[in-house]
This record gives sequence, structure tokens and C-alpha cells, in this order.
Amino acid sequence: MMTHLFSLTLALLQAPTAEDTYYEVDYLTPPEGQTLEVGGIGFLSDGTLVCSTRRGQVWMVENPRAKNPGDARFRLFAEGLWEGLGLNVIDDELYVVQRGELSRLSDTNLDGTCDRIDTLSDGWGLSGNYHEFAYGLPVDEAGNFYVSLNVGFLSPKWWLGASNVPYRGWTLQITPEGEVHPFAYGFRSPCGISISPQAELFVTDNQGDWMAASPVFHVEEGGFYGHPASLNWTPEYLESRTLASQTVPSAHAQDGRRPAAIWLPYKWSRSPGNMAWRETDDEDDPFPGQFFLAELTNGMVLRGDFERVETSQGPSELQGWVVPFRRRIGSVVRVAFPPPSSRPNDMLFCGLTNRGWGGLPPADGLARIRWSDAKPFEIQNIELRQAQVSGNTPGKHAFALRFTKPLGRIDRAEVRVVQYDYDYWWEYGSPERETTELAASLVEVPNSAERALVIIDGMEAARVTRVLFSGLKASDGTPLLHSEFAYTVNQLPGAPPTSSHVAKIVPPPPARESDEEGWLRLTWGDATDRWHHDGWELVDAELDPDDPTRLKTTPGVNALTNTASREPSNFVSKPVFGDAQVHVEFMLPKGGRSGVLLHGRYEIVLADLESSGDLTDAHCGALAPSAGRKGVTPATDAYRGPGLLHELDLEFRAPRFDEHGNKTQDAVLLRAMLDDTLLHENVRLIGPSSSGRVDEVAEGPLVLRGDSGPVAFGNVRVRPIQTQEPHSDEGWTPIFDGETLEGWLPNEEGLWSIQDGILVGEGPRSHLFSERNDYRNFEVRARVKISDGGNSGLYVRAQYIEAGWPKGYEAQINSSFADPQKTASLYDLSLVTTHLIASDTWFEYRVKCTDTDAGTRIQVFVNGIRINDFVDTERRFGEGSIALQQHHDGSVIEFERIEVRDAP
Amino acid sequence: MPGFDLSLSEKERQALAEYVITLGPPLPQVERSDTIMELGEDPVIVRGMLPPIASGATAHTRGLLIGMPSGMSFEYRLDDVRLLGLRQGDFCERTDWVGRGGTELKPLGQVVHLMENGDPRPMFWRDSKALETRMLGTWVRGPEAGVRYRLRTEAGGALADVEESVRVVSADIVTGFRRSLRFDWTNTGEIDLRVRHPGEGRPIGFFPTDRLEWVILRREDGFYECRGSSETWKEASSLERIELSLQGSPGSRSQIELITLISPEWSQRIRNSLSEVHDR
Repeated sequence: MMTHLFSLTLALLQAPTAEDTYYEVDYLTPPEGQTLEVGGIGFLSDGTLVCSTRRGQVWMVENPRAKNPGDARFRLFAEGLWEGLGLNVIDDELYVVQRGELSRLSDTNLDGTCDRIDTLSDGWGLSGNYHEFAYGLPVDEAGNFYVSLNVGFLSPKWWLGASNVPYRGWTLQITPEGEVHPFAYGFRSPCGISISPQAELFVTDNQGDWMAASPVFHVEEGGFYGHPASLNWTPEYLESRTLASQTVPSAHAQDGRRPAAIWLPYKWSRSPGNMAWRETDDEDDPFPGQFFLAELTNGMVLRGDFERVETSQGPSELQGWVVPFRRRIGSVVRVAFPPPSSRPNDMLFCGLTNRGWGGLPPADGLARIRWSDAKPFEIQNIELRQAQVSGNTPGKHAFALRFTKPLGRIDRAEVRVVQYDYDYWWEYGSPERETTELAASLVEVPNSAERALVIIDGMEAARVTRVLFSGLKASDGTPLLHSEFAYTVNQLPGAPPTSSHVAKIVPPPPARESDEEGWLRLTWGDATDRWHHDGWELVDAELDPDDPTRLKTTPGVNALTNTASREPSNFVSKPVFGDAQVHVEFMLPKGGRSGVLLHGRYEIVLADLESSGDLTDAHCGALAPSAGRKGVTPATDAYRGPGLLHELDLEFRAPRFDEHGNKTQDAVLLRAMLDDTLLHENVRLIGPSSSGRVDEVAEGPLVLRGDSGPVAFGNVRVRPIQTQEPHSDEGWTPIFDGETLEGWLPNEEGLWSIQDGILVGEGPRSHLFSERNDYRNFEVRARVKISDGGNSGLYVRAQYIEAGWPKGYEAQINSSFADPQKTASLYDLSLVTTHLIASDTWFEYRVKCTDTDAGTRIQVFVNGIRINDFVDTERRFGEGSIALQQHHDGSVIEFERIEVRDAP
Repeated sequence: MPGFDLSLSEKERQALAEYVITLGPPLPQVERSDTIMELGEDPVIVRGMLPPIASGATAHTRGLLIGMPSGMSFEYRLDDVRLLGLRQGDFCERTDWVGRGGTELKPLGQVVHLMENGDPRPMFWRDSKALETRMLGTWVRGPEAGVRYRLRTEAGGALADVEESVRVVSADIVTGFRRSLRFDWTNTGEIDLRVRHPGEGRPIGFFPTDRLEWVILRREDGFYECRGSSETWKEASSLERIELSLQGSPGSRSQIELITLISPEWSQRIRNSLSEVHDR
């Protein structure tokens, strides 16, 4: 059974948080049996809310601002549209962007339902690919509509964007008469498109190929925003009949690519939707003119603003900052304020949907965020300046902050500043790169109790700056509600403008398939086969709605939990590793505690702790304390909350020992990332954590803690470092020359060929035997790749046979064929039922066969890690050939660099 | 080692296949009943991607179904607004309400009539050139529903906006459908159009009634198609030439009706019934 995903329907109890005090969330109740997957929100002049849905319906919601949400009344206005991911109301007329057209919806006989749909425009292409969504629907002062179009997703990767029909990856301007003007290009999945009160067009995009994270673009006519697929529809490419490269950055990327005004940190936003601006003339409003941004996956709303900084050559393009506003709402894809004329204007409506992608529950419906009367202590506004504390301070810059309340003693507060950038490439997203901590200080502003400066040394342009406060309180003692912000510094004030980007062109990985290469997937297929465990089960897991400190499990295959017994053990891998990369996905309940122990000794803490800004070594991502030493706090609080799936990526260098077993070098945590946010880099591990074993070893297991309360894990995988074993040395002798089948003898009717130095088996069943048939105590190794649905094997001590299945020890090669015996099985003797290796992925395979006193010992290694170790006490097979299997027509097996050496 | 085809029965292999399917990512929990659209008292128009209506026909990324309370649904492709055929029975399933969406509509009714094997050629011609038809919208008025489109020359010049309504009709023992076309002519001058009303089969004669003029076709399956028009047929000597001509004056409005009835016989009873075609 497979555990590579958690359930897409993680239910999350809306547990009370500090945010509840200031921003209450409630939910309107749709008619029974109706699922509102909201894609667009607008308002009629009488205050009626109108929403379009992915199911092609349009609903009228009367009295949406009712004190009791149950008093809002829903009425179906239209159905049968093909999605409705954007809606606008102009002079009480409804406009909806469907997948295939921009439409005006009318009720000509005034019976309350739509009876006429006018197609204003269908001037864009549909290839039939599911991902070709159309979003909208802002309107400018001239009455022009704006629609943004997804690229399609095509093979070989589900996320690889393609633009096979016009104008996938573009933003279109559509006149009131329906005339289409391709407006800007370079988008991937531009789910949010909005116009600010200042008539600026903004588009949010989603992380993926060529999108390092989720950006907010200030879109101007003719601009190119980074994804190359859209280039196909530029005059230049059309005239030259050129198609955009999927792997090589275009000339446009180097020269002319427009920067994101804001890069949304991945830990806050994975799937942004649209933006809404707080338009108010209320002098007491804490956030006038600021934007509020929908975030689907994390189920929250972000807040921020833009500015133009004054470079030495004039004002910059828009750039800006973002902070979390309200978490735990549900899968928010649309946000909308009622018209400014509404009084009191104290409510933000959120449209929810996450079908097909997953996100924080609720997965659909309409939520409301209501401002309470209590005033929060928040960062109200941020401006980037040249630092001028005492005269001009060269080389320093400052964030000028304004808070919603007078500050308390800031000398008791700390500030931490980190800068980073991204890779611009075809790979899916980018980690935060070149992370640098900057010296910073928090300084009062004389005669202004609500203001402060963060003075920063060494800030660079074309980087994102993340600022984290700890211990900062208002004068009334209220702690800062959201203690971290991220500012995208495209340009620095006072400095010459740079053409560099936050997302920088870098050499891409060598091949698309390489992202699977080298990994051992330890919980795919049979999730527990390669582990020692007690009290663990494979289920679907979600927060228990009745008790969020627990996990509620249901039959399923998406999560490994320690909920099967009262006293579960740790989950300990049978294979042991040296240097390795480790990937673990996890979910904690409220107050949950667990850990990942590298080598069973060095613990990275997993914990659901309420963060007040002061991180400790008990927080999620910390290195746990070891005997007599404190742990190491994470660089930032990247943990997002209970009931949410998190991805932990570790890179580890094992300790080194001399020939006497004395340690010569400490272990090193080379890198730790939580949801692509850097937590640690190059941390020396002087000794094991208190929770781990005392001794230190060159190779050890991966341990997932299950002894500290409920936890769920999934998609656990390890990539041994330096698995590329040296070839043609240490006694290894090639037995395949890469050009001929000399020394090999095929049977039956199989098709064995050599293609570019690779031995390929295709066609009906066949086996290829080494002519030498006296192999006995020896090792054989090869690089191997098996097709999806393919089946093969590497035999040792095989006996030649004219037809049928040979006798001998068969090390199975099977990633996805229906036979439960997978790669690294010793066929019918010692089974491996975990799907360790992805199909169509090269791996190192080694089989060692030796006579021992106990019997014939066969060891099977995958990517340098011993997976199978079996002693055949019956000594079934004596000396024989090496044989390669082609199992059935439709299967394709590839071997490269087949070598042998004697084994004592 | 041994393939499963050698060691498992068909039933066991099916069970194994189902087990293997369970190894994949979880499928969205949507009941099929949640994705079925049913017909009520009023016509319903649904947009979406259409699978091929018949073997050899093509899928259409833009299409729509007009479902009538009678259980008949009319299937249109929209890139050039052409009626593809009629179905009878349950309405449709929205397969795109599952997972990430973007998938085809699944019409549930049985195809009871195909327009030119499901791949109809242009309907409107002028000076031996097919006119473009561009989608303008859809409408529902009481029991009637239809599409609107614009006729344009190849150069893009608008000639007329057409409102087309579709209804199920019957006459005694035969049933069929009616397409009412209302032309609002533009002010570009006198216009002379040819309107194709092709059918399946060999024309066997004309038959005028008080209100309509009929051409009778004998199909290969032995059925008869009675094709009625409120205008005079121009010529019906062959399948290609079943058409009528229509003149438009600047700013004026014209209306024609095109009726298709399918009959198992061509008899006096059927002839008599053609004078009394009525909506169902």
C-alpha cells in the first residue's frame, strides 16, 4: 500500500488561536446537499453577494452580512456553466469567465434566474488538457476585462507547463465589445488576477516549473513574467515557427523578464488566489489601502502592500512586503470586501475550494472574517529606506515600521534578519538559496511611539528579506500578533538599479528523471516492510474534530500513524545509511511531539508549539539537546500548524572513524529544510541527542519517533550520498562491452539489443545467460532501469534453459508490475514488498553470493544500501551463470556497466 | 518469475488489478449521483467539452447540451456553432466535478439522430462560400431554448445575427425536431443565402402542405426522413443540394423553420400527419 500522500481531505478543527480575538471566522451555510466550490465573488448594489463556482453555478446570497450566518439566504441563479473561476458585477450585471468564454448573465424576465448568456468573447484556445483553467475577472476604468489563462500540464511530468493553443500562459485584455488583446505573458497558473484601487493590475502565480515560489506580479502591457511556454504565441516565435524550450531559459528570461513585486514565502503560500484591497475612509482602520491575499493550501489570508523605492536613477518598479493575516480559515481561493459603501465595513468574504489539490479544510463554501472591536498589535506598515539614524549611514538600510499600537520596551525585543533568493529553472519550484543572516538592530523613532526602525547591514537587492521579531510587545503588554514579515527587495533605495532577479538563472538538473534517481522510497507500496515497528498502522489520518490533540484514523493508505497501540514504539528503518539525504512528510495533532533521528541518534524535533516569536530548541525543526548541551533553534519558524502536511528535507554527513573505531570527524547536518525553508546549514553534531542512542556509528537507521504522542508520517525516502560506486576498480571486471553480446547467450525469442552502450531487453519472455557458467563466490553489479509495468531479474548461479523460467537465485527487478515481489526481493526466498525504486529510474544494483558455513548467503544492495540478506540453508543452487531476465512483452529492461568480482 | 497469466484465473487477475488500483493515490470522494445533472420542468443548457458523438466523429473542446424536459437533448459544438445530433434519455454527467476537473461532459442519452454522421458541414453559404458562424450566446424562454450566433463572411463582415431555437415535435406516430431560425439582418445590403438542411438518404420526392414544404428522404436503414421547411426548397436532387435560399434586407428580420421527422414508413397516414406537426 502506498503512503506517498496524506489524505487530501485533512479535516482541521478550527482551534482557537490568538487571531480569533481580533479576526473571527464564521461560515455561511449553503442549502443542504449543495457544494459551493467558489471561484468568483462579487456584490450587487443592494449588498447581495454573488458567487460563481467550479461546478458552473452562480448563487445569489442575500443578507450575507447577517449577524447569524445561518440567516444568509442562498438562491441558485444559474447553472450549466463550464466552471466559473472569476466573476464581476458591473452596474448590477453579472459577468463570469468560464473555461471557454467570457459571458454576461442576464435575467430578462426578472424571475430571479438567469435566462440569457451572452458570449462576449471566446478568443482563446482549449486543447482539452484539464489544467487549462481561465481566471478573472477584474475590470479597469475603461470597462476592459482581464482574464488569465493557465498553461496545460503535459508529460513527462504532471506539472510541466505547455502552451499548445493560444494564449495559454497569457493575461488577456478583453474590451467591452469582446475584442481580445493579448496583454502580458509568461504565466504558469495565474489563479489570482486583480486590479488595485490605483488601477494597477496584479497577478498571482503558483509555484512550479519556472516559478521558484508563488509570486505576485505587477502586470503591465507587453510584459514577460517568466514561464516560457507562453512565448509560442508571441509574434517573434510565430513568425520564426519556433516553439519555446521546456528546459533552456529563453532570451526573454535573461533580458526583459519582469520581476515579481512580491515572492510569497513557501511556508505561507503554496497556492495563492486573488487579492482584495481594503478601501476605507475610516481613520481608525488599521490597514487602509492594503491588500489581502487568498491562499488555498495553507488555508489563510495574507496581508501586505507595495511601494516604489527611490533608486539613484529614480523610482523603482513596485515591490513590497507580506505578513500572515488570518490562518485556519479553509482553502481560500477568492477574497472580496463588500463595496466600500457598506457600513460597517468590517468583513472580508472568502470563497473556498481545493478540489483536486488539497488544502486546509473546509474545502468549499463561503467564510467570513469579521473584524472584532479588539485592536490587535500588528505591524501596520513597512517601508524600505536608506538608514538615517545619525546622519546618513552608508551601506545600511532600514525597514521603517509602523505598528497598530504604541510599542513597549524594544530593548527587550530581538530581531533576526535573513536574506535569500531562488533558482529560476524548469524544475518544480526552488528552495530558498544563498540564505544569509544579516546584522540587524531594532531602533526607536523619537516622538513616535508606534514607529520603529530595523537597521540592517549588508542588505542586497534582488533578494527576499525575512524579518523575525521575538519578545516584541505593545506598551499595554500585548505580544505582536504576527512577528514575521517578508519583503522582496528587487531594488535598494539610493542604490543604482540592478537588472538581477530574485529568481536567478542557474544550470538546471541534468535530466527530468534525475529527481527520482538515487532515492530509496521506504514507505511506498508496503509501507512497513522495511521497518521495525510496534503499534504503527497504515491509515488515513486527520485531526480528531472532537479532540484536536489526537489523530482520527480511518481505513486508508495515506498515513503511517502510531495509533495502533497505547505504547507504540519508534519506527526504525531496517536498512542503515551513512551519508544521506532524507525526506519525511509529517503531520502533528495540536500539541503533538515527535522527531526524526538520523542514525537513530541525531534528532530533529517535530513539535506543535504555539509560537510567540521566541524560538527555542523545543520548537519544530530544532536540533534536540544532547547530553550536557543545548539544542539548536531553527533559523525560522516554518511550522504551519496542526493537521497540516509538512515536508522535512535533511542532508546529513555521518561521523568518520579511523581503523580502530575512533571518531575522527563529527557528524554534520549539512542542511535542514522545512517546506523548502532553510532551518539549519552546516551544523556540527558533537554528539547524539539525549533521545538517541549513546554511541556513534558510521552507518545507522532512520528513526521516526512514536513514543511521544500521536503523529502521522508519509513519503519517507532516503538518498544515500556517494552511491555512484567507482567502477573498474577494486577488482571489478566488465562482462558487457557496451557494443556486442559477446559472452552472452540468449534463449527463446526475446529481443536483446545494444543502444548507446546500454543493453536493452524487450519483447516476449527471454533470458540472457553469461556463457561463463562457473560463478560461485562473487559479486555482480550493474546500473539498471525498468520500465513502468516492467519486470525483470538479475540471476546468480543460474542454469541455462532453452525455454521457461531458469533455476538460480533471482534478484527481482520490479518497480510497478503487479507482482508484489519488488526490486531487491530474492524471488520466492526473501521478499521485499516496498516499492523502493521508481520505474524508469536508473539505480545501482549489486548481488553478492557466497558460500558460508550456514548456507549460501545472498545479499542484495540497491544504491549501495543493503536491502536483502538471505542465507539459503538448503544450498539450492551451486555454481552457474549470471542471467538477465526479459519478463514479458511490454516490459523494457536496461542494463549498463555490468561488472563482476570475486568474493571471498 | 511466472507471469500472472500463467498462474491466476481471470477472476483472480481482476481482483489483483483492483488491488493494484488501490495502491495509487486516493480518488476524490464524490458520489456519482452528485455529478449527474437531471432535467426538470424547464430546458437546461450545459457547457463543456464533448466526447465524439459517434464513431469516427471528433471531440470538441467547446460544446453544449440543451436538455429539454421531454428527455431529448440537443448537442452543439461551439467553435462554429453546429448542431451535432440529438440524444434521448438521461441528461448528462459532469465528470469535471471530480478531481481537478477539466474533463469531458458525459452525455447520458442515446443518440437518436446524427447530423451528417456527427460531423456536419457548414449550414450557411453565400456565393458558394461557407459563412463563418460565431457564438453569441444561449437563451431559455419558458419551454424554448436555443443558441445565438453571428453569420460572418470570410473577411469577418457580419451579415446577420441568428437566434436558433430547438424543440421536439411530433405528428401522429412520428417524432422529430424543429429548428426555428430567426435572422436579424445587418445593414450591409441585400443578402442572398443558401441554407443547407442535409439529411441522410436519397430524396424520393417533395410534398407541400399548407404551412411547410417537405422533402422526403429514404435512408439506408429503411427509415424515412421528412424534412420540412417554411421556405421553398431550392433543389433536392441530391443529398448535397437539399437547401433553400433566403434573402435578407438591411435591418429587417426573417424567420424560417426546419423540421425533421423520422418515420418507419411513407404512407398516406404519414402524409396526412405532416399538416399537423406540433410541439411536444
